[in-house]
Amino acid sequence: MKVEVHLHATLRLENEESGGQIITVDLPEGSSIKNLLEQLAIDIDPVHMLFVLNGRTSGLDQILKHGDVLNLMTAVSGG
Amino acid sequence: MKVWRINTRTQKLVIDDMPTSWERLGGRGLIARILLDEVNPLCDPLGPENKLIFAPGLLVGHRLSSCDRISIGGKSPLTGGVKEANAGGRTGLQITHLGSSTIILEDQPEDLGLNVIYLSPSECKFEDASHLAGKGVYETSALLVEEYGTNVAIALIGPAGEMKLKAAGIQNLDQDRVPSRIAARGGLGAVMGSKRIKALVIDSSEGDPPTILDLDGFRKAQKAYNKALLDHPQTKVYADYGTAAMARMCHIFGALPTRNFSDGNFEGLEEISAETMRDQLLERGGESNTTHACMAGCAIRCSNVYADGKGKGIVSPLEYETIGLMGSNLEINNLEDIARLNWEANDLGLDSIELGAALAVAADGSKMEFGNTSQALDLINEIRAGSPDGMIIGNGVVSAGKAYQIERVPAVKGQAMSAYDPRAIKGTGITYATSPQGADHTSGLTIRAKIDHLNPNIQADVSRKAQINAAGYDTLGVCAFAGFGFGATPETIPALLNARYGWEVPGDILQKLGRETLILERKFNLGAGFGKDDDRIPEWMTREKLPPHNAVFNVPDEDLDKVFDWVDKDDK
Repeated sequence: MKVEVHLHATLRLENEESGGQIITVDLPEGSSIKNLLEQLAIDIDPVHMLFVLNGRTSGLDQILKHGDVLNLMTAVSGG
Repeated sequence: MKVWRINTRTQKLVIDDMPTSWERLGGRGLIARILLDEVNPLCDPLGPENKLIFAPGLLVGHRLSSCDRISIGGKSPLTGGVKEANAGGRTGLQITHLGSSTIILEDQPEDLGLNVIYLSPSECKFEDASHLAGKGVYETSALLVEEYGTNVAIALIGPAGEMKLKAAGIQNLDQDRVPSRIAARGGLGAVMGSKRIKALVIDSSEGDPPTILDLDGFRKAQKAYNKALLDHPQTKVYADYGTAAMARMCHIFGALPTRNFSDGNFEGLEEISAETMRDQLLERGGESNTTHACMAGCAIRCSNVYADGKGKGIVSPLEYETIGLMGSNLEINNLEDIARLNWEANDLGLDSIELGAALAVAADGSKMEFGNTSQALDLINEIRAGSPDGMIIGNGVVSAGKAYQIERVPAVKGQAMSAYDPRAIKGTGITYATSPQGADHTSGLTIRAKIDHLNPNIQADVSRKAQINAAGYDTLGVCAFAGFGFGATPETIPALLNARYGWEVPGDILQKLGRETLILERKFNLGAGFGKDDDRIPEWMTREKLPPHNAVFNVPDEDLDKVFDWVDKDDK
């Protein structure tokens, strides 16, 4: 299955210079957000990240399905 | 610990010992205590009974990273209730180096002259400022730095404050002498204008930092806190992208104010995102800067300098709330345009949140077209000219709603909402509704909480906790973003206080200070006539659906009322 992953701010794939990419990730059926993070090898503790699946806050163990849109970000606030 | 009272009518300074009940408070908490003790809550905020209080937080004075903020407060001309607004820059640090724990401007002159107050450890003098009347903040601060030297701290108002407009703030010099650190909210610039003070110039070059009773203990706690702050991934986000990183986050949650809070998604998001801003600034070079410290010693460096295509600086900083309120909320999808609007707001001495919200209401009322920057600039120029439209907009979003007969006014207790639509981030909506400060981005945001922000039934506890922590940090003089470091090493907060003051405060001192502050603020507001009906989100937000989630504000009233039910209990 394919999941669209949006990476924000400092989150980026290894060897990429700029953040903020949109990528499509191929995952086995039944994969969770945790599995996806392992596959992407993002070097930030998930505890400091927010997962927003199709516009709603989600958790590490959430099972993904084909066509999902997942936003990954480190949470900021204020200004 | 000393209180410096300056009577703006007699032009005399009196230095008193701190009353015992004030000694363990600073910043926001101290302001609430002073207001409750000394200011009639029913007084005219622009009359002689109101006081303008400058109160550094309890940890201010030592260049501890991100802990030198100044709180400024009084009775708000915008909300009619308690008001504290805080800022970075140099003011807080230098007040403590004068040997003062708080400066209170009292009374008001009978004549309409304009003054600068110059303060040093040994002197307080009033100087005629008629040559600065009507001048913008940037020109005024440059003239004052030229006159008083490059080491002073300055808190000043622009034409908006002189005109006593309710959206006027008080600006402070940053470490590079840029006067853009604004204690923006609630119209405190108008209070300063009502006392006919254009600027407070603080020269502490002959002063000393406050004494630290246990220097070893202080340094040890400082080291642990600094390490935690630097190790936290959020610190890097702030350094690289600044608060603007919030634009995409808010859009993703469907909460980015767009076209006067009529949509939670903005089609021009990418053009105003932090990611675009960073790419632009790195490419433009020159005076551009993606990371910049507003206070000496700050390790986070969330500030920036936004420059045009030729690398010429337009404004510093360009922050999320301004991008939200003067960008997407006005349908302006161009950071350079937003930066220019921000500069104008700064120069007039106006809160960019209140101004952006008021302009969007004006657009709903056909006074300008959404997306039209030059028309927005024209309306801002009306403020500078003192025309009726200028007065309407410069007095804030509620004033604009009344004059232009618009129901869609995003405000609580008279103050404009910041750039989080409460229908999609309902916990922040509870904070807007129930904070004694009115709808305020510094009173307890909840967007970082790992919860479903659309579920109305799980937000009250989250908002309460956020409000208590925010009030605690604002009493310490600590930047909200330092909370990432203190959150990882909570024991350093009591350790720093104990080392500095020789106290023995409990481990949960942050929350204790927060609760005490909120109790005092609620009490002042009660005296000012506020009740449950004021702790509500505007009714139209309970009916009008916000795309893309078609969300309404549907948090039950009982949940709103229970946020502060412990205050009443504590009070009995």
